[in-house]
Amino acid sequence: MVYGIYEDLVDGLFKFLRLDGQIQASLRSTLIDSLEMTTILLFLIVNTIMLIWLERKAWPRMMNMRGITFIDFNWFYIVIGFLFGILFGILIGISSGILFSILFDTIFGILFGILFGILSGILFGILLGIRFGKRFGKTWKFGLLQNIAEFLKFFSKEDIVPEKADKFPFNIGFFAFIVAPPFMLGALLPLGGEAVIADPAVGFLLIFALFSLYPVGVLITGWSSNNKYSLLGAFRSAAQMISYEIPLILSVGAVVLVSNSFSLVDIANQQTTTPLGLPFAIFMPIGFIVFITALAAETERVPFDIPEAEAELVMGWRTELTGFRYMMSMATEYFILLIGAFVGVSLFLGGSYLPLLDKAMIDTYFPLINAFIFTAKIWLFIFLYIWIRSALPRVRIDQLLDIGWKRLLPLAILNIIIVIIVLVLNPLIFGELQ
Amino acid sequence: MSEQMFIHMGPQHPVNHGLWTLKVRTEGEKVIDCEILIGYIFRMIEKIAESRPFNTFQPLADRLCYVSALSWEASYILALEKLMGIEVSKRVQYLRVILLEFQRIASHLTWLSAFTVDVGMITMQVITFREREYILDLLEHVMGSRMMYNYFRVGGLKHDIPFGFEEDALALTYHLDKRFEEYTDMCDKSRIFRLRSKGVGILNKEDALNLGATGPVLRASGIQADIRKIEPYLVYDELDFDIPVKTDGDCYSRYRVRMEEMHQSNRIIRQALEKLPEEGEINQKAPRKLPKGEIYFRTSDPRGEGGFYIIGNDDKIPYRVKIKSPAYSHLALTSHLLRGVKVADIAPIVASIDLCMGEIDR
Amino acid sequence: MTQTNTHLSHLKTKYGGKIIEAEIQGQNRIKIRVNADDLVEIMEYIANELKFPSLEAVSGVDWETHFEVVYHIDRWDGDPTIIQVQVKLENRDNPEVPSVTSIWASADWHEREVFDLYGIRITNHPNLKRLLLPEEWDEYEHKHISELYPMRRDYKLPEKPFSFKPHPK
Repeated sequence: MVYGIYEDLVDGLFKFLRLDGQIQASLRSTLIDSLEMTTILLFLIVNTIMLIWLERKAWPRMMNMRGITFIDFNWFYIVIGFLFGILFGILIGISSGILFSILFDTIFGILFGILFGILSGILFGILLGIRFGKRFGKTWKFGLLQNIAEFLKFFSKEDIVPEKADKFPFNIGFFAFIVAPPFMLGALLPLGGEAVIADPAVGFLLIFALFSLYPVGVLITGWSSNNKYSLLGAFRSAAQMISYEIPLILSVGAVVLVSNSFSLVDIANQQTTTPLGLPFAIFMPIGFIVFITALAAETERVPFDIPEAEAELVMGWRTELTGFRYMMSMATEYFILLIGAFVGVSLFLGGSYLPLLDKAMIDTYFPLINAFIFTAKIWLFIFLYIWIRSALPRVRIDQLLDIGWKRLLPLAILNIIIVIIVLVLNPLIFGELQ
Repeated sequence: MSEQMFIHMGPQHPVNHGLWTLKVRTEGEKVIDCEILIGYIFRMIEKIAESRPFNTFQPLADRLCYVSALSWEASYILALEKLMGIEVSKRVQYLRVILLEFQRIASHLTWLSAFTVDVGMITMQVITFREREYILDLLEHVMGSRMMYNYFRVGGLKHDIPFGFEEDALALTYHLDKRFEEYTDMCDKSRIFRLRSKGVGILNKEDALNLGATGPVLRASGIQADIRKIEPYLVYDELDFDIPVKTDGDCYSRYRVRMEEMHQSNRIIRQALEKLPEEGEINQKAPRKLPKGEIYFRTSDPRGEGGFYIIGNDDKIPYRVKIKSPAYSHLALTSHLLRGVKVADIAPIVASIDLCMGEIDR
Repeated sequence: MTQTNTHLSHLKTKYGGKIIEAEIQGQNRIKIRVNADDLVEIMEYIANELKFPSLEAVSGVDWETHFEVVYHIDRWDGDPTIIQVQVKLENRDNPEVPSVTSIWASADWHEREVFDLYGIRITNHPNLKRLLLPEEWDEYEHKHISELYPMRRDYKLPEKPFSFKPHPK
């Protein structure tokens, strides 16, 4: 749906070019593919930048919380900001509703416009509330330029390879196993609906396979940089990732069990056919929790950020990375979190569809809205991790392995057993196989 | 077959809050042995103290510890007053108690921030500093400086408190009480925090005494000892407060003891504000010379028991000033605590004993 | 009779001959002076029989004619008594005092500090090396022995800053 534009664009281009039939066909598919790939990579990079930006904005605010739930804002101004926001949102909603109904000539247009209005009203309310309530310093508008500036700064820094480091693995291991794999994954990620570049039969197994190259890269980089902090961090990282790969795969296994497919698109579609169109996270909450926890460990997020425990191991396995390398290692971490969010949203949160809304209706009338819903869900998913980061301390390596092997693994197996029982009793509850 | 390796932590490393080196011999993630090297900011304060008039040393007594400058200053001034036999007015004594207890809370908040960030809670690091800032603002209002006060004098205070201080101080204690609940919510209710701090770095009663632990570290090991009760100075015997004690001797006990001490400090401040006399000589005349004689005077520093051993020689320059620093003994016993723990536990253990390199390296 | 007096009478009855001088200073400071040879024996008695489990501080004092090492010992059970043991070291060129680390482990760093700053040699100390000053301080360019131990009264600041030149091997 999203990528349909490119087909039209390329076809329009070929009207002027008039090439030979066979060349045209091959050139056409190449062009479309590369455009699609560019889109998804651009999407990922922009979202990574936004993720770092959001974390930088949201995390300090959450750190300023009272207790665990409330934020230190001036409530009077928050309420005023919120009311303004809702007013603004309702105006947008009504106007967009009218616009939609004129454009598409359906009752859904008005309904959708109102929904959009309420949602945007709440969003604007929160944003304005934050803005009115308490303000910190900023770089350009909302500090949006901060990340770009820092990328430029890191690029301008000297790229130091430690004198005592093992040069070949230090260079190759880092770029080949840490930076490159996440970029390959772009082709496998659906950007809303069925807009996916490649949808192989092995599906997200390939994603997890490329995921598991990451600890190899960490180990190589940590070892070859010839620093004890790096070495310890790398060992911790390897132990952690290997032990959390298993609960992660098992929690996903339950989803595969009910959907009989490895394709992210198929699984997302299947969740629209469940009762009320509820996502799988409702039907297998244990699996979802295991997935979230294991993903936090896989992406080295708090409370599982022990490979780079800054309290005792300075910066963990990336102690010796400087400038551009350091920036890439940090960016890759967020990149992987984003990809994890893609997988999690597709598997557990219903992909690019919402419960109670008819899939066919969305596909027919508002094709582009898929991508927006999908993006919103991804951000919701990531916000959860930012929240966790501001609330929890870090666990120790033995406690981490304890949680992994003694808690998450049995829970994941229990989840599979429950799913099997439910599946035997009432297969229809998990929707129709795609 | 195991292979041992050395890890150097320091002199600049997040684990040591200050400048010192921890040489750890590890076997994988387990610490076999460790050695502590200090002296990076050694500046011979004791020699300076015995080479200049006693009143000019007071600003340097402030600089013994940058986190709780006032308590060191008070310790020095009170020792001198005891040696000279000066009795200051009740108003001055109550004011000193109020300011000292505020300083204690500020110091403990700094400690809490350092400890929690070593456990991994960066949020706590930020929010404790937020409340510390209120206290420093209040102290600045009184004494004109945020950290290095130089406010106490032999025979009283530099000047009287500003108008409105009592109301501000009282309001601040209630504000702090609310915030302490919030910290309890953040830390005690967090399961991971308890996992990280309970049973970590255990110091039993006998070892604590034998290794020279004092203050919160000693109280966390099950000994209810505080100079404010044992040998009351100022007006602590007229105020009603408890000495918190825990028996486990681990990092969590030390954390709990310090949290409860902050509550007790609030109690003391409120009582002292209530009893504060309206009248009283703020700064009385003090002799120019130290009498012949010696004094070993102890006060309850936020870190433990701070003491001054001063020998006077009928001169305005003290003959000998020995500074007994609690953190000095605590750093020495750290190597005992660190044997056999995981590398990841080094940070919480070192943080839990509350170091201040200024008073260790003197 | 207060606890402080009790402690002092115990000490006097047990070691009457070995304690050179004993007095109560202020309200609850017992000040006794002993010889360096009898130090460990009396300290063991104080620690084990009188139950003074904590050594607070070890300070050196330079009285220009002789040195003195002062120990402050505390008991932390509500009794405010502090025993202040003083050891007079007449030999100014080679002052020596036995270590009490076998009784109180906390004496380790305190005694090292005394050695470091006063040059008082602590015999039987498990790890006697410089603590606050650099370990290779003795190898610096010093003109005179008095420059080695800065807390001594006859210590003179050098005219130019110290430079580190290890001895050629």
